[in-house]
Amino acid sequence: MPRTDENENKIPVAGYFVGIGFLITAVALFMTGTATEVPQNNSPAVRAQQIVPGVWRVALTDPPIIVLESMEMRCNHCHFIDMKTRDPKRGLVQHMDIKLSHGSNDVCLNCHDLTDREKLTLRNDETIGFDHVEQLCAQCHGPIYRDWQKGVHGKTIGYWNTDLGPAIKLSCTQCHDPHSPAYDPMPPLPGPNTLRMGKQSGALDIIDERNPLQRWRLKEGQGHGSDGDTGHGGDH
Amino acid sequence: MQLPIMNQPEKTRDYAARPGMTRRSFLRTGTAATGAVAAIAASLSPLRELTDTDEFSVDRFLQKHYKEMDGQDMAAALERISNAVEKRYEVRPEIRDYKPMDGVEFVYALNLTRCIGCRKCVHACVEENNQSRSPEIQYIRVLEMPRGTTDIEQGNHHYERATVPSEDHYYMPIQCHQCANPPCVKVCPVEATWQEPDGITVIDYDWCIGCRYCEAACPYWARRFNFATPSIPKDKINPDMSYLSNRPREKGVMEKCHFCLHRTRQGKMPACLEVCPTGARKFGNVLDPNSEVRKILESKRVFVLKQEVGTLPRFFYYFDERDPINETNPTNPVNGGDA
Amino acid sequence: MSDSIKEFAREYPRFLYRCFRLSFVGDWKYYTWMFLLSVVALFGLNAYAKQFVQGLVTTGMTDQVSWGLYIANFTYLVGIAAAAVMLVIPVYVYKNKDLHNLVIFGELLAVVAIIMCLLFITADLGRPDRFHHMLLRFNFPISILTWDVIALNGYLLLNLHICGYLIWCAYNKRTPTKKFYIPFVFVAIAWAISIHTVTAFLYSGLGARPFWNSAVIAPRFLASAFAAGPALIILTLQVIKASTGYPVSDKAISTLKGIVTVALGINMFLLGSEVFTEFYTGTSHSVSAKYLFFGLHGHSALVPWIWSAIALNTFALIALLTPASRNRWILNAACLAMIVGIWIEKGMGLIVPAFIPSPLGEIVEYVPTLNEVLVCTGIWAFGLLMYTILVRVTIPVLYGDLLVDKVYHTDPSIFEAKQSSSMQESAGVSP
Repeated sequence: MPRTDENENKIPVAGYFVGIGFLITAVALFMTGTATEVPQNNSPAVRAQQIVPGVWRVALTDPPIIVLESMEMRCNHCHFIDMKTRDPKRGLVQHMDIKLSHGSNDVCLNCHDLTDREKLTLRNDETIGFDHVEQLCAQCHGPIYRDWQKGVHGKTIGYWNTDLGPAIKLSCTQCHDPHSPAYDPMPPLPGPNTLRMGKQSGALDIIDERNPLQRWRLKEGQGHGSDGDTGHGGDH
Repeated sequence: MQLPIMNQPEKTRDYAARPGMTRRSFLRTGTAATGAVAAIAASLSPLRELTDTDEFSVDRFLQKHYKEMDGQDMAAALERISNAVEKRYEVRPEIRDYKPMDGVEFVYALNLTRCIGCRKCVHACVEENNQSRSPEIQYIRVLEMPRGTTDIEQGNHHYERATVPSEDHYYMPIQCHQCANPPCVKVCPVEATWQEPDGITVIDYDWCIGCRYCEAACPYWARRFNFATPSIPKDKINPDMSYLSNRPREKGVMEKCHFCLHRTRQGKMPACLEVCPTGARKFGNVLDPNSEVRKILESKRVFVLKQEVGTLPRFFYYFDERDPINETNPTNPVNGGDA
Repeated sequence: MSDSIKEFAREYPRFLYRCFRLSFVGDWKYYTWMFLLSVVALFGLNAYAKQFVQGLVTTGMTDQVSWGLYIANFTYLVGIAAAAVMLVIPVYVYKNKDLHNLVIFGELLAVVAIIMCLLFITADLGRPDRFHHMLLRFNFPISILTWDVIALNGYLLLNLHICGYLIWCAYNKRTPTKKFYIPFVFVAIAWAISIHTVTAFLYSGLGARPFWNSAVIAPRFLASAFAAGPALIILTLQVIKASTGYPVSDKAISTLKGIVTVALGINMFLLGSEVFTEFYTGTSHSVSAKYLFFGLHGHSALVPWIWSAIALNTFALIALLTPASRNRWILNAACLAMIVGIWIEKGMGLIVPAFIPSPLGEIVEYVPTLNEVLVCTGIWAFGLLMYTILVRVTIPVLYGDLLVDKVYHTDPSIFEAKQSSSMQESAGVSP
């Protein structure tokens, strides 16, 4: 079999041009740097105080202790006189900071015991300590109370597995302010700012035609149902 | 159509064979070869920036799949990961491998009447699980839903308000539903994600190849991809870590909510539940007849999202029945008004 | 027996070496072409090196739109690879004489297209360094992606074997033994259908994405592939003929034209069926289609793409159906239009819109980054480079210029002296 491998080969002059061309390419590639610019997220960090786990508010215990100007006060420090004759409809002169917003339950002595202000009073004139507040609430909020008993309403923290640690079931007043049980509206923490998310409008007044309720409301009256703030219609 | 030829070859020479070297041909070939080598080197020059020695270490490369590791392998892997975390974040973490408990299947229930859309769960989750701040990765999305629909495609992810809740909306937080029939597990080509006996779908971050098929397969958009090396402030590292949950991830792998596996497998509640101000979130062992979640599933009218896709979620939503006492009181806002 | 093995062990490396040498021989146009392709490929490699260091953050992809140009190109190229059967079926099943000597170019195209597919998949992986995990824990048959891995690599091997065997026989002046390649050819025909079907199942098997969750995706993929692939082959054959003088008969082109016309017609019909179903029923599952065709809530990045795809495909179909396409330039324009049109339809028109809006209804649009585009063009350039080299060394073998016992002395660019009659004998490589 003839072998011709030793023959001379000519790479055409193009070899020079190709070589020089590649060198220019090399320089051009070096000039592009080692990294390409990528977006960074500069959203401000959420502060630790904004996401405190556990109990939502401090509830009074039995006996209730109130700290006033770093002094530990008991209710009966002031309420020591007999007030049985007190007109329950008289306006407050003390405790003006208390905003009572508990629906039709608008009389102090509905809950607070007339004779012992360190106790709460039930409808059957029994008194209970502040640590058994749920019995008081249960008198009106039966279904919620039953849910709470089962753990369906309310918040349980700590351990779901009680063999390994305590499950702490919060009482009514560890979440709700008894004078104003509805949660105060609060500012939401920052929304998402994901990679290359683009401009996302948090406030579009589109009423989606796919929403049967919104469509009907739209017909009923222009903008009815808008609470005058942003985000109405709930679309992008 | 004929093309011009630069050099007419001579008939006797084999142009397909090895060249004999003359000075001229050597020079030509040399120039071309040098140029080519220089250009290839230049094009690969960004690789100089590969400084993370752990990412491509031999130990790492040889590390086995989670299910194939014995105790010794796991100890070695945890040691390697601890060192890498310490080197990078200057915090010595406590990393363990928590196993599922017998007779436990986790279920989450979320009370939509109580959720006020404050997004505290979102950010508590970020802190607990060492999630990347840039690019931002969050496991929980809170949707502001217009009343009148449960179609989540009508929800607003980006609501910005002075205060929440808005009277005309309800809020629907969405995270991994830990499906009993998870489409994400089905599609993974390398078994880097699987469902554990306690119902948590986990990811072996050291096994994932980053194809993102699971991300396309998830109907709840629960999976996240590390498009870049996560950036976490050193002082924000949570040192209580586990292999399958919140240890810092690397670039190029998937991650997702794992019901705070490192907490819940020690019997604790997940971080999103602990921070929820309204008690809208409920978590527990559905196999325990006395658990809160079991009571909810038995007594409330619960539903799951996108039931039609057949994923059998372990994440349930429900609304409370209204409390008639406060139905008549128009001054109370929607949420908490019946408390 | 051992002698023939020894001979093979001696001659096969020599054959490869001679092919390697030959790929560096050519005229100035060849050098310019190869040089430009190399430069583009190197820029792509450079862009990929940056992506490798920084992560996929260098692309326009996001958690919302988690697949983009890479997967779009991958899908398109699977179609191109599958389309090789549109040359193989006429030749091997219907004994078509016109395509007889051209079928090898289709098979080589399939080889290159599959290699490009694998490169696009590699570019899309977050951790390409863990590719071996695929071998260690292969989630077969549960994950459709593993089916695709088998389908694609199997198809690559089949075509490598068929092309390699035929070329090797021609190089050794041997008549190919039928049993060594005919069975593989028929397996490859079925396999070609399966690669694009399995690729379609990757998407249509996801209940999370209603836009993909449609039985018509697989037929649509095949129809569009059998239009775009042969269209690409029509253009390629003309380039091969123009630059090497390799005989490509007009009848061969018109056979391919017929295939392309029917396939494109079916593709447009299937698209129409899809559009009807989406829009007439008007369920909430049609939001992605609405976004694609008309935009949604002020987001409309894909609208110009899909309408230009429809315009290009409509133009191509009308041109092909009318006598105008007897004009070679109009035919070429139609082919080019549908190659681009189907590329858009499969990428920007099928992969991307399924992610918008996200399963939770969030609209995040996708815009490819420069780095991502560079990686894509780099892979395309590398593919063309491979294909050029394969054609460059195959043609002299088919001509009988590069043979085991023959000094190679004719630059294959010169076919002036050759008559096409002498071609017929030497091209005995085809059946």
